[in-house]
Amino acid sequence: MSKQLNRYQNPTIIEHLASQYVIGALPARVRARVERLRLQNFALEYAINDWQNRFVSFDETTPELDVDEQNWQQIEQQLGFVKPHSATKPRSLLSQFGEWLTTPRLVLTSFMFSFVALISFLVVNPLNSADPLSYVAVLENQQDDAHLVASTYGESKKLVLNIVKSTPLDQEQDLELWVISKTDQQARSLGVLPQGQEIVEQQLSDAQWRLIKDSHSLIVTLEEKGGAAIGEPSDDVVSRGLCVRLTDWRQAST
Amino acid sequence: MEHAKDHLFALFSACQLGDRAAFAKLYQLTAARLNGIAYRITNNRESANEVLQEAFIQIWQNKQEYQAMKGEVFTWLASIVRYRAYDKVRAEQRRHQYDSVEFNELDTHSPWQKLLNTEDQVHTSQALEHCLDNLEKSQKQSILMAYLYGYSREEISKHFNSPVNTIKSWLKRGLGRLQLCLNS
Repeated sequence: MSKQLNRYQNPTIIEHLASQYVIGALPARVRARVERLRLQNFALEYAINDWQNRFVSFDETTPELDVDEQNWQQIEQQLGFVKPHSATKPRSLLSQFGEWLTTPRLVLTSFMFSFVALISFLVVNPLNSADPLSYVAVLENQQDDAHLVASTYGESKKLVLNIVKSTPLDQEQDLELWVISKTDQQARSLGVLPQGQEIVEQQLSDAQWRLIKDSHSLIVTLEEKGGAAIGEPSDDVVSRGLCVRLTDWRQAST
Repeated sequence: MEHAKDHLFALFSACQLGDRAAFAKLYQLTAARLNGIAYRITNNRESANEVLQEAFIQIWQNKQEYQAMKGEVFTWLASIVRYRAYDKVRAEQRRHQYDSVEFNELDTHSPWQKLLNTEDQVHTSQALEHCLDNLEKSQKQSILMAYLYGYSREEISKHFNSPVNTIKSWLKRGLGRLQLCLNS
């Protein structure tokens, strides 16, 4: 046994360390050492407990002080008992999307985008092949399954939606498609998705086309029948996906 | 009192089995008292709440370290809070605002009563009080300044305008005599 360890078998030293530790008189570095030592030195642990028991009457009679109401919530969050609450000020959809889109998801999304977009372009494209595909987004649900592929065509300004996976809906519900703006991070509606169709083709207005050109991502939300009454998406996001300008993708893949 | 101790013990035993509801109840029952202890040392409400948070996280994470043979549950909880509070005042290098107040021993005029603005009387165990009273005044005050308010040796030295080594000696001899008295 080393001389250093022998030192901590000495009752006088143990008692000195324990008493000074309990009254908080030790320098931080020594305190930290004692906290490590007590885990493996039974005599030290015993002496510390002894001193704690001697002095605890001071603590038992210390007046109570009201606790910050948020304290418990923060403890629960830090221990992972509950998911973090959203900030008082609602976060933008763009920032929420940024958190959701972790690196693995980005890689997966990119891969799926490449694959599905290609299929979409070569097989599903109902338009004239001379009309170039401009933007595409693969929207995935919470399980990372592809829900919908959205493609836009620059010359005809058409939006084509390929519903890959249907979503069960009540009679009083509809799905609504939204564009999240790169510029102001706001969500703007592209309309309610017709039910029971695998492929939806929609002519975009000039205003909607500008939304597509400024799009960061697309989301589909669950809304009441007929779509969101207040012009804002609900919190029930069914799927989401980055909106990628195809020319960029083509350049990146060549 | 015994009933309350038994209740805390039962709750904490459930915590040790991973019962989060019991942990929430334990918090409800003890947080205000423990916050008072943290405040006594940090002299700052925000810091006290931070200490309390850190302590409860440590309490949950280290819950298996508690053993009934070591002492009461409250003693274990209060010790964790105190140690985190000592760490906090050391890390922040912040000192109490009542440095200029005469440290007036542990009596009904004790500084924490002024700080917390309460009429509560301080009741220490009779044996502890008796043994503290048998110490030299400087020894008793040094021990209480450290334990109750988290004063470092250097800060006590400044308060008494005495060398740090003298304070170390007061603390060492005072604690030694206290132990002898309490064991007798």
